[in-house]
Amino acid sequence: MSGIIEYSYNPEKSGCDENSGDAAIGSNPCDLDLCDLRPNEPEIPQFMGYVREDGSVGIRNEIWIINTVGCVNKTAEMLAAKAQKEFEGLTDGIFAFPHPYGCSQLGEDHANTQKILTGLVNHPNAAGVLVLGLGCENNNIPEFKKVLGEYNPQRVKFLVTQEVEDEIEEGLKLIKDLVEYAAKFKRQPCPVSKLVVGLKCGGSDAFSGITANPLVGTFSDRITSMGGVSLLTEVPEMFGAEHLLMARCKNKELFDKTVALINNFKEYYIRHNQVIYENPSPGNKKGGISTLEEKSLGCTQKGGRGCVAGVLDYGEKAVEPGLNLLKGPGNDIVACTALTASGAHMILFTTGRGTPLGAPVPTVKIATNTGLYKRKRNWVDFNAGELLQGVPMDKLSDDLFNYVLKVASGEKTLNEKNNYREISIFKDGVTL
Amino acid sequence: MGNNMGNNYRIIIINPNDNVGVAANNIPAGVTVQAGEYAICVLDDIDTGHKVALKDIKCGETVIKYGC
Repeated sequence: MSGIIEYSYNPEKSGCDENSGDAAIGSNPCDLDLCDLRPNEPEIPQFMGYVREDGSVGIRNEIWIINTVGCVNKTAEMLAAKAQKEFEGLTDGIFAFPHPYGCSQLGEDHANTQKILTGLVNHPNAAGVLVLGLGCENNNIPEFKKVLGEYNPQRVKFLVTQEVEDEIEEGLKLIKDLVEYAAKFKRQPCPVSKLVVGLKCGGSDAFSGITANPLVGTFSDRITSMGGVSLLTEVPEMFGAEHLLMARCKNKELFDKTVALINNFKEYYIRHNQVIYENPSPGNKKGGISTLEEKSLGCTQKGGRGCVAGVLDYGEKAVEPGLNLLKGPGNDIVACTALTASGAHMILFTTGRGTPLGAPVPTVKIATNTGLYKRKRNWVDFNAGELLQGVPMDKLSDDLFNYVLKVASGEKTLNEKNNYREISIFKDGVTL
Repeated sequence: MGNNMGNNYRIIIINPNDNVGVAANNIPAGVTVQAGEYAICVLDDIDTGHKVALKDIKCGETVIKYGC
């Protein structure tokens, strides 16, 4: 079997109505709870964020060094380290995100690198950005600027290292200007509708679909009912449960995009001669997961029950309030980078076995079980395992929501305290 | 934290429409566990993370979990 399925749009069966924010009740048993995601609070809660000149909001005030090509990875790292020391305390931190790409790539592969780097340059958690280039790379600065488009010259600076004698000295001068620009921003009250939250699961276990993912689902429903954005990616983890997401699309256009999202990823597998519908592994089965559908249902719990309001291409910025599906693989670093590049201010990352991984944005680790939470105190920020001990979902959902507001307002997650921040860009093509 | 049965065994029901629950701990055969409105007497040893039927499910009948 090829794995490509024909999906047909049936608005009567769909759980969602284009004209209302609520869902119409359909015959699909999953959408019984889709109606009325209106918040119970009389007012929209707030957090303390940085309002940027274009009206967007950031939850950190950092300087990011985005290199166009891997050849200047170490230069970027050295600049970040020196700048951190020299300008200590003046911003929320100065960080570089090395990667091996930006040259020797062709076609869509090359374009993907440019899209992700563009998303990072435009990210509102960065008060200022230094774009660091080599000079001869395929993704050289003049070429990159074509993809980047308009930018604020006070906020984004450029340095071609081949063109100056001392790139460290020149880089630090530019960073100094960025730090001075960044100092103008102070935290102020912002409505939670401004938040974009990425959703991720990694190192999953039998409880991921039972505790942490449904907990994150309640968060997704809450934030989107208040006008915020939640981003669900990891397309291969949707296989087997994709029809449920399709049934929650607000209109045919979104339905078609969701179908394309799923089939596109299947075609990617086929192009590489890989099996699409991998049955659960022996380890999964031992842990209690019997079918692929069950595995994917567990994974997609993170998306809650709300309507699908947007379907995004890899590197595309999220603009529609509501749950958005984002093209991307299950790989943890690539998916976290994709979420960041599409505008996620922070990521809620559920895990059963634990992982220290951090994206450029605060990466909240949520343990599926208390054993992990107790064992890895340096990795895990929040314990969903309490659900197994009888703590009601409503209470834990409130706790998580309040914790997210704190993180948005400046409280550091463990990946930030550990200084674990990195990126990885999707690769599909020849390396010259 | 115990349940009405006076023991610490727990079965989680994810969605009100489900006809299976998930064992939150290893449950020995013969123990009765409160799960929502159900009192389930497990007939076999159940490993943590595995499913327990909440009502009779016939062979070939659909298992409903996560409401689906």
